[in-house]
Amino acid sequence: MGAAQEASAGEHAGLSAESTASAAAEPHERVTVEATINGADVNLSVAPNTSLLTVLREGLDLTGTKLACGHGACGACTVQLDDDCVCSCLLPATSIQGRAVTTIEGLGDELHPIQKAFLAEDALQCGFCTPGFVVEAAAFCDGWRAEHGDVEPSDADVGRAMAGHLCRCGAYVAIARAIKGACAGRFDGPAGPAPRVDGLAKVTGRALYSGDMRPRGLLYGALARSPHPHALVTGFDFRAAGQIPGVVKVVALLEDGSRVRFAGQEVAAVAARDQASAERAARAIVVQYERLDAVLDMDAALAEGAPAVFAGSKAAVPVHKLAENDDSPKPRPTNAGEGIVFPARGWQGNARGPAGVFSAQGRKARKEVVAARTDTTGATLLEERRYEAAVQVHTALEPHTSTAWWDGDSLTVCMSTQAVSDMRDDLAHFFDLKTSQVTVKAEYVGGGFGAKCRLQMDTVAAVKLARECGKPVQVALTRAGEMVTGGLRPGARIDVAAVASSAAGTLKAVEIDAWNDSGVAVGTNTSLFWRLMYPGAAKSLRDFDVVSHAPPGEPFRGPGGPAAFFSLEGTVDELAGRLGMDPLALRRRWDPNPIRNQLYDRVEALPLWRDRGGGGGGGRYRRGVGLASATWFYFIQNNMQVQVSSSSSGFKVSCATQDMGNGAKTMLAQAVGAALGVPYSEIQVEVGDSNLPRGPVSSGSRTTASVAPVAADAARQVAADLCEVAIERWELSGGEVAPGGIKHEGGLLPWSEILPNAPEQTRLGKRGREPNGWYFPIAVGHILVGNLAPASVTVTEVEVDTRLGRITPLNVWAGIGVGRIYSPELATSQVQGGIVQGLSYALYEERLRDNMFGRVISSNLMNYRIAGLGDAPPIEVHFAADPLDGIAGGGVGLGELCTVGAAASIGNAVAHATGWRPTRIPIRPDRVLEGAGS
Amino acid sequence: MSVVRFPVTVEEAAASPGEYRAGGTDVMDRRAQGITPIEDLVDLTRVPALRAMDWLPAPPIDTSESPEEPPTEEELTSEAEAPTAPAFDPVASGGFTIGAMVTMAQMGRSEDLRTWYPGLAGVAGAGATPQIRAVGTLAGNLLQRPRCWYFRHPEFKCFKKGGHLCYSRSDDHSLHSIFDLGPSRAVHPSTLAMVLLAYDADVEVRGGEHRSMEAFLGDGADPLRENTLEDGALVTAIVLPPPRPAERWGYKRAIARRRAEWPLVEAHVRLELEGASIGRVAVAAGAVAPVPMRLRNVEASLRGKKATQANLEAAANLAATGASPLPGNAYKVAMLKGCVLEALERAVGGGS
Ligand SMILES: Cc1cc2nc3c(=O)[nH]c(=O)nc-3n(C[C@H](O)[C@H](O)[C@H](O)COP(=O)(O)OP(=O)(O)OC[C@H]3O[C@@H](n4cnc5c(N)ncnc54)[C@H](O)[C@@H]3O)c2cc1C
Ligand code: SF4
Ligand code: FES
Ligand code: FES
Repeated sequence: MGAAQEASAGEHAGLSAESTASAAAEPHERVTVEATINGADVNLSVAPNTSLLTVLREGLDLTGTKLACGHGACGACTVQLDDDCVCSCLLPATSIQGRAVTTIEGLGDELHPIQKAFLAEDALQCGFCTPGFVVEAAAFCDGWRAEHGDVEPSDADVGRAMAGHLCRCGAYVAIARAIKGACAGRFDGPAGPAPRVDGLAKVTGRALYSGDMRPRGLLYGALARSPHPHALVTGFDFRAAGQIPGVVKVVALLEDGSRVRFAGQEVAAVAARDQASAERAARAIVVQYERLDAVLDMDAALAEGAPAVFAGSKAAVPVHKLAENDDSPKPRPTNAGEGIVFPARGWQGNARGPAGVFSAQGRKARKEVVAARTDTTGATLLEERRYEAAVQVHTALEPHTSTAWWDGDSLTVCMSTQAVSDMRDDLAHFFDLKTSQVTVKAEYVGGGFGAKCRLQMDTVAAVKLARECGKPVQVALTRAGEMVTGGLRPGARIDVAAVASSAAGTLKAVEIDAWNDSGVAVGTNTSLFWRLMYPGAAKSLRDFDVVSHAPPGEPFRGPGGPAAFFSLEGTVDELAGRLGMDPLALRRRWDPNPIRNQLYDRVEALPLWRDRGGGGGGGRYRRGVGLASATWFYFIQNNMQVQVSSSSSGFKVSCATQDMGNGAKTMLAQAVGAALGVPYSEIQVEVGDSNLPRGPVSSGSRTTASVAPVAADAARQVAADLCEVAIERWELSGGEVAPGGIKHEGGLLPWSEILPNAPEQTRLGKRGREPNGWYFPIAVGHILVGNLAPASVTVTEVEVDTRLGRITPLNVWAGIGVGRIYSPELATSQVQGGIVQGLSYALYEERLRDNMFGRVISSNLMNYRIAGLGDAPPIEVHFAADPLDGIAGGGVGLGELCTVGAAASIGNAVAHATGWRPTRIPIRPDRVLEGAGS
Repeated sequence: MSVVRFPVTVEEAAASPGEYRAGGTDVMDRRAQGITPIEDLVDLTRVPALRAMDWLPAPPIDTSESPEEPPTEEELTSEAEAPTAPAFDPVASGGFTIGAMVTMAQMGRSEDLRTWYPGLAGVAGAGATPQIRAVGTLAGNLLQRPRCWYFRHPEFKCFKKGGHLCYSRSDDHSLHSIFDLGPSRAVHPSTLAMVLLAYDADVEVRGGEHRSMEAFLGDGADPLRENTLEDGALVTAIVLPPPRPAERWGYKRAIARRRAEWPLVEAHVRLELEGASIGRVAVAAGAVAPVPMRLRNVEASLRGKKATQANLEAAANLAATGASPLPGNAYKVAMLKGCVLEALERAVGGGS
């Protein structure tokens, strides 16, 4: 590493080549720092406030070290400093003087045992947290083995060592296993097979996420946001911001006169030569506002005479059009759902609804509830309760990031997105371009969970600034920004009334009114899940979207699901208690679903369930076990294709989809490999580029069902082509495609002999007709809803500390029925991650805003808490054996199914432990003390 | 454009104008977020004298017989353990001094501290996260600014930033103080300040002046500061009184997750048993007030009593005397009693 060269590369990142003489206590505007980075001596000149992370990423192009929170909570930026691990985001760059820094890139040319362990155990999903974990775990492992020899550390040892790291994908179970295995010396040999095709790039820090793209001349952007929840923009003053050194350009994102509808809405943006200057300049942007009355929360929005956030609008608009649509006569909210906004009766003030298309005999149900309220005969049991769930933010570890540049009239955006193809279309539309002029790339995506499906203003800002500056511009949301416009799951308030007959123990009627706290969005449906379970009863299911001056809801892994199943399964358990029945027996009675009944058999035999006892006890710590059933849809996107090609270098599968940690790349390789009889590790995979054949959006658990059969179809076509070629060329008799090559009378001619001697073949796979038909007969936005119900049962054991209010999950068993599992390792990882996310929501997560301005105050990862490694219990995953016959490919996605029942099973476990029914998510310590404190 | 100075002596450091920067874990964050004004910096990392740790006045104690490790239990809790210490004459000790720039990790590793001040070493070596402990310093920990979410949000100008109201009072104050000591209800962020308060430590200012921890922290009434340190004054060291070989200790932090979380409430106890009775005892609580609190009434109620569960509970129940919680943090009253009780139980040895 040439020091002088490196230093000048980072001129604007607080680095420059000039050096200042250093007399003690003299003031310096720049400081010369001599240190060793990854074994090479460097000589840097840095500004006083520059962090080591900035120097590494912006100055030295060492992008393996990630910025995720910037305040010491997540550990993604961890590097080794001599013998210690430190957060480079908070470390002054001047503090490395005379010391040795080791980043993920410097761990060594050979893989460290920890890296091999992470690979083999699949201890990663999106991979964004992985470099930080690996750097720390490598140091821990070396230290541990030096001190203790090759013995396995305890869970508590690993938990303590990794306490400064967060993984939003929830890969903790595998991470802990990998670390323990490496410490015990189990990964000292050569690297074994890796279940995930892009694992190696992730454990070495070589995977390039959109913020790691560093085109020449790159500028850094930052956003200015409205401090007011509801106001008209009446003017901009960019002078002060423009004078900040390093600033290149300031642009408005809204027109004069536009309306802002939530505090934190993006109003302007700035590009500068380094990130710190851009952020300083963004704070210096002056915007004049005319403040207007605001409704900040659900209660205010529903109050008599509350000002209307949107008056009587019908449809929803995309997020990036929220402000623009004010020119239209009927401004519209955005869509918080995964595609379809269900029809609703209309608007009553700020409430859109009821959306009640899922009711069955709704009027009858409401009558039964009224009758049960006055029933004095005891013939019916009425279970009435209000359940509430907080707003949850997606907070993927990788912030929304876009790196945009123009080449004449064509635009390229490297973007952290779950929808490269849609983003290409949306960007073309927004900037008035032909789709052929736009390329969207997302080779690696650091988690999305639904929040990266839309074109948002941060991307618009990057593109605008890039055009104005004539240079590439990168805009990444700060963590505080993520908490505002990074996506959120609407809060929910669910009023439940359920009637069972005392004698027969049947469910007679349910009446659900669900109120979704969606900010400036509509389209959440919570009550519909009551329709998908326990058929037979009369059901009145009504959903209301309540709009307020708050950031928009977006689809979040299993939209509506966690709160819905929390209320539904809580109600079933309460009724079981009142009927004097075992919760599992009652579900067997009410639930005809064959897959779940198979899972119930399993649960019956589980020691975890069988030995659960009566729960509770009188002491301080109470243990309980809870069960929750759940279901989910699967979606299929019908306008997509997968290309498979063969060449002398092997088979390649290409598709404009993306892998955000869900394993889409691996799944494609496996589908193609299986069709050809080739190990999947030998299939090249190309995704994350909108110029490839159109692939699916990674949401709605649609990737597996949409893509795998199509990829297999394309592979079979290529194989057939090659078969023809081979028959002719090698004059084979009786040649036909077989696993691994072409079978003919003389034996098997392997692909490895055919490919170098055959012309290249390329084929597109398409989707055939669905054997089982669709839940909704028509495709809306190219999305079809499958007509089979994937099924899950989650069993969780918790310990409740009744003195200090903490709930500790001790064990989880997750039974999943989704048919064919393409990769058991990856599927297991995904289920474990889904459970961790679910328990994190159930116990810790709560987006909070202040009550004067509606600004997000839970604005960092210290006061917005997500589960850490120590919070993840052992999670056993069981896949129901039967394939789903009715679906092409035999299997569907499980990303959402696995997460929606977690909170419900915890709620039931807490009730079993304490006798107190938690009704609010998160089940915080103060709520536990109030409900079950000793 | 701010400038930075790198003094190398305590005198230079004390004389340099600007904001001190130690490990930087708080300073860097506040600057990046635009929460406090960007002033000139005085970086203390190159002042070797601030890194010293030693016995006072002279004779270093023989610690050749390496004692058991003090347990650093999960989530920062620790069991009581009377040090299996070599013979020691406390009268001959002038106490122990820890330089301002000693990191939390170094304190956690120090054999001297682990042997003779296990209640300090145990907490310092397990607080925050490993990465923060590796760079966060003793003085930085004591002098870090509070975590109140309005204070940490650049768009709120509350009392603590020279404004004219406290947002937390009428809004979400679930993490705030239950003792109303002044306009601000932000809780003091420093765990070590609470522990050192229980240790009756002194703060050494500008290389000479000693101030008791209690005097250093003040009464919590001034919303603009969390201590009585004059603007620009340098903390050079902490001075611990002579160790108490028979001391037992207990610490408890109430949190929602298992680790690495700011306390909802925390409590620290040091006590000595005389037979079955409690002799000297010090109890301090954190995250309940704008300054850490010594709970003198709890101490008084324990002194001379048998260390029975009933007595511990009766004492713990006095912990929140004088508290005036807000509607959204009344839960902290029960939690404070619970943390004090658990710290007492741990100190006594699992309760009796
Ligand atoms: C995830 C996380 C969790 C944490 N949890 C806890 C916790 O539970 N308990 C806890 O106590 N802390 C906790 N912390 C805070 C952490 O301990 C502090 O950030 C750290 O101790 C500050 O030390 P520093 O050396 O980095 O201080 P700096 O950031 O360098 O300085 C902090 C302040 O002290 C001043 N200062 C520093 N040295 C001196 C001196 N010698 N004289 C005068 N002024 C000085 C500085 O001017 C500045 O105002 C946590 C932090 C993080 C990131
Ligand atoms: S508690 Fe203190 S820091 Fe927080 S808003 Fe009130 S005055 Fe400001
Ligand atoms: S980015 Fe440094 S700790 Fe999160
Ligand atoms: S793999 Fe850890 S954040 Fe995605």
